[in-house]
Amino acid sequence: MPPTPPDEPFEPLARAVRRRERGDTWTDEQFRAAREHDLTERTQPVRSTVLAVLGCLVLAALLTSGKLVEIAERQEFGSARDRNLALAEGVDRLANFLSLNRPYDAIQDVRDANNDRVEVVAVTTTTTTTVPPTTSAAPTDRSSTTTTTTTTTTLPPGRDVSDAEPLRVYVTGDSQATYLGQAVTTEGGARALEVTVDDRISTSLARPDYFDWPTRWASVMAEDDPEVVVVFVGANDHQDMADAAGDRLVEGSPEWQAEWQARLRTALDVLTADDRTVVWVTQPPMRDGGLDEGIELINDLAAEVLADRPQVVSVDIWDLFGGADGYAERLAGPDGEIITARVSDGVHVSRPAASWIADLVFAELDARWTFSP
Amino acid sequence: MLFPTFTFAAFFAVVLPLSWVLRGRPVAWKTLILVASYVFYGYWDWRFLGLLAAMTLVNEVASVGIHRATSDAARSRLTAAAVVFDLGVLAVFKYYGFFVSSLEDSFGWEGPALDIVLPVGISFFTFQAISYVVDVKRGEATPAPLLDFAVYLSFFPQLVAGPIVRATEFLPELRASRTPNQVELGRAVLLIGRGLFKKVVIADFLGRAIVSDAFGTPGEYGGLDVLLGIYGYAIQIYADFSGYTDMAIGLALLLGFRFPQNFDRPYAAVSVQDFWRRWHMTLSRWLRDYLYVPLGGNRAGRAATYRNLLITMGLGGLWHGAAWTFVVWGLYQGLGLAVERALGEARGEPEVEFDAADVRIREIARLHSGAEVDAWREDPTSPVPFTPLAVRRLWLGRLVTFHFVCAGWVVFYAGTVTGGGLDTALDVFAALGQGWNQAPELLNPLVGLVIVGSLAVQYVPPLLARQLSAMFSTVRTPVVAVGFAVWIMIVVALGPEGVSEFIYFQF
Repeated sequence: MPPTPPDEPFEPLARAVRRRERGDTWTDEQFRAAREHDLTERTQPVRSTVLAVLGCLVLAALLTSGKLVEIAERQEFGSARDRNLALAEGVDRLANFLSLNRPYDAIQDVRDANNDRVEVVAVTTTTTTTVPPTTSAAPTDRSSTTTTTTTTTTLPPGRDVSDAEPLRVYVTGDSQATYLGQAVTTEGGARALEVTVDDRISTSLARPDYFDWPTRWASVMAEDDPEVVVVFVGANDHQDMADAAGDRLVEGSPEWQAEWQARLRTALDVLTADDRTVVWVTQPPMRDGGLDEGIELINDLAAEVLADRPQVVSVDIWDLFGGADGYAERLAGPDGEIITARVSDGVHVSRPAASWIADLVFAELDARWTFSP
Repeated sequence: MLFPTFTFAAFFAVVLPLSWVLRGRPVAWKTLILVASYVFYGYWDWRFLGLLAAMTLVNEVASVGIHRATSDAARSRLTAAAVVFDLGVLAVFKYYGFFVSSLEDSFGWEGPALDIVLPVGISFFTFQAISYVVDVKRGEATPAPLLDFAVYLSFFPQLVAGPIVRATEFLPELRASRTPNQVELGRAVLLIGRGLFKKVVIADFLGRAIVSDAFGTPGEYGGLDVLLGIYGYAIQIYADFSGYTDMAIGLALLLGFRFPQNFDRPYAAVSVQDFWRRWHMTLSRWLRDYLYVPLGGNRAGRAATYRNLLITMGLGGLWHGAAWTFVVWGLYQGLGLAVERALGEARGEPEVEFDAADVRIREIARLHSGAEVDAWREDPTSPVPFTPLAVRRLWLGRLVTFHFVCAGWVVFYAGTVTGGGLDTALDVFAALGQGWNQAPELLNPLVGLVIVGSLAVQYVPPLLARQLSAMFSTVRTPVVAVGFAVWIMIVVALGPEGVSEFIYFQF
C-alpha cells in the first residue's frame, strides 16, 4: 500500500519540492502521491452541475440584460423579434428591479465614452445644391446587358490636388466598404489622397436603431470635412423597417419605398452639404434570389433619388457584376482577365473586385480634380 | 449557431438537463444528442442536414461491409470506395470552384459554373468519417451501430470546428454509462470561460485594433506597425481557433465526454515539428496517421521522408482552404519540417518518441542526448539541469520557430482573402521592410499589453496550469456558478457589437 501524503487538503507541488530539497524524509512514492493529489480534478454530482449551469445562465442573462434587449431590437422585424424583445425586456425589468444590470451598464458607459470621439451633431434635412451639373445622363437601364459604368452626373472641375494639399476622401458604408476602402487607400497611384475609411458591418439605412448613419455622417462631415464621400451601402437594406411612429413597413411596399428614399435623401442632404461630392456605388447582383430582387429594388430607388442630386455621381456596378445575367462569382475584369469577384457568402465583393470598383471611383475623381505631382 | 451567443446558451440550457435525465436510457439519450446536433447544424442551413445524413449512411454501410468482407482485396476496395466518396463530397462542396478556376486560369478551359455554398464544418466531419472507415479496415475499430456512428459524426460540440476525434476515442465514451457523480465541472467551466475570453475579447479586439489595418493597407504603415500586425494576427488566429476548441472540449465535458487536447501553448514551441505537435494537435495526428504514415512516413529513406513531409503538409494546407495560397502555406511548413529534420540529422540529434503532452521531455529532447531523456523519464519530478548553452539554444529555437510560424501566417492570411492571392502576402512582407523610422500608429498600450500578455501566457508551465485547474475544481459549486456568470458578463461587456465568424469555420 503506498504511503499516504501528509494530511493537508492541498499540498502544492512546489512546496513539496522544497520540502524534499530540505531533506525531508519523504519517499519517492510519497512524493508522487502528493503530486497526483495536486493534479487530480475533483468531480461534481450531476444534479449540482446542471443546477450550477442553469443558475449561471439565468444570472448571466440578468447581468447582461441590456445586451439581450439590444440583440432583440436588432433582429429583423417580425413575430420572432416581437417575442424575443418582449422576453428580453422582461428580463431587463427584473434585472433593473434587482439592480443586477448596473455593472454591465457601467462598463458600457466607460466604453461608449472612449469610443465616441467624434462629436455627434444634429442631422438637418436642408438640401444644398450649389454645384450645377454640366451634363446629365439618363437613369441606368437595368435591363441592359452592357458592361459599362453609367455615371449620372459629371461635375465641374475641382481644385488642383497636390501632395501638399491632398484630396480628402471619406469611404463609408457597410461591410461592402471594407475592401473598397482598402483599395481606395492603397491603389490611388500618383493621386494625392488622404483617405479615411469608416465601415460598419451589418449596417444599413433601414435600421437606424442599430446604427444611425445620417447622424454618424453629420458628425464626420462637421469634424473632418472631407471633399469626397464614397458611399457603398445597401446590402443590408433588404428588410422591413419602422417609420417615425414606430409602425412596421413591409419591405418592398410603396410605404417602405417612400420611407427608404426619404432616408436616402436625408443622408445625401448631410453628405452633400458644403459643396461636397458624393460617389454612390450601387450594389452588385446577389447569389440569393430573394436578396437579389431586394437589392435590385434598392438600386432602382437610389437611382431615382440620385437623378435629382447634381453633386452625386453614381458608379453603377450592377451590369459589371452580372447584371441581367445574374450573379457571377468569376468574371472578366477590367483587363479582360478572369477574376474571382465575389467571396463565398454570395454577397460581398472580393478584394480584386474592390480594386476594380476603386478604379471606377478614381476615374470619377480624375474627371473632376487635377492631380499634380 | 455560434457558441458565444445567447441562442446557443438557450439551446444548451435545454440539452444539458435533458441529457442527464436520460442518462440511464442509452437509446433515448443518443437520440436526444443526435436530434440536438442536427438542430444545432440545421440552424446554419437546414439543407445540409441531408448531406450529413448521407455521409453517415454511406460510411456506416461501408464500414459494415469492410468488417464483413472475407478478403483483404474486398476490404481495400470498399475502403477505397468510401474514402473516394468522402473526398468526392469534399471536392464538390469545397473545391469545385477552386478546380474550375485553376483549370480556367491555367488552360483557359471553362467549366460549368455552379454556385455551391460551403457547408460549415465539412472538412472536420469528412476527416472523422474517413478515420472511422480506415480504422475499421485496419482492424482498430469495429463498426458501431448506426445511431452511435451518427452521434459520433454529428456531435454538436465538435461538429463544426473540431477537435477531430477518432472513433476509437469517442465510441467507447459513448457506450460507457454516464456516472452521475463524475462531472468535471471546474475544468469545464475553466475551459469554456477561457475559450470565451480568447474568442470574444482577445481575437476580435486584435482583429479590429491592428490586424485589419496592418494587413488591409500595409503600405500605409511603417515596418514596426506591420510587424506588430503580424504578431497580432498570430495571436488572433490562435485565440480564435483554440478559443473555439476550448469551448468545445468544455461543453463536451459537461455532457460527460473527454475530448483530446487540441492546442498546447504553440508559440512556446522550440521547433517547427514541436509547433505541429502543439497546434491543432488532432489535425496533426490525423495527417500523420492517415496520410504521412500510409505514404511511407520516414521508413523509406531520407529523400522519401522529405517528399512525404511536403506532400502531407501541402495537402494539409489545402485542407485549410480552396486556394493555392493555402497549398503554398502548407508546403512552406513541410519545407520547414524537412530542413529541420535534415539539420537535426546533420547534428546527430537523437530521434526521441515522446508523449505530445509532456512538454519538458520534448524540450529536453531538443537539447540533450537520448540517455538523458530516458533518465528524466524515469524521474519526471527531478529538476532539469539546463546549462546556459542549452537555455540559449532553447530560447533561440523558440524565437526562430515563432517568427517562422508568423511568416507563414502572413501567407495563410492571404489565403483567407478571396481572390487576394500571394500578392496580398507580398504586400505585407514589402511593407515590413519600410518606414522603420516612423512612429508606430497602430501600437497603443492596450494592443501592446494584449500581444505581450498573450505571448507570456504561452510560457506558463503546464504543471502549474494543471494545479490551478485542480484547485479550482475544489471551489464550491454555487461560487463557481456565480463567478462564471460574472465572467460571462465581463466577456459580453468587453466584446464587440456582434460575434464575428470563427476564422476556422470556413475550413
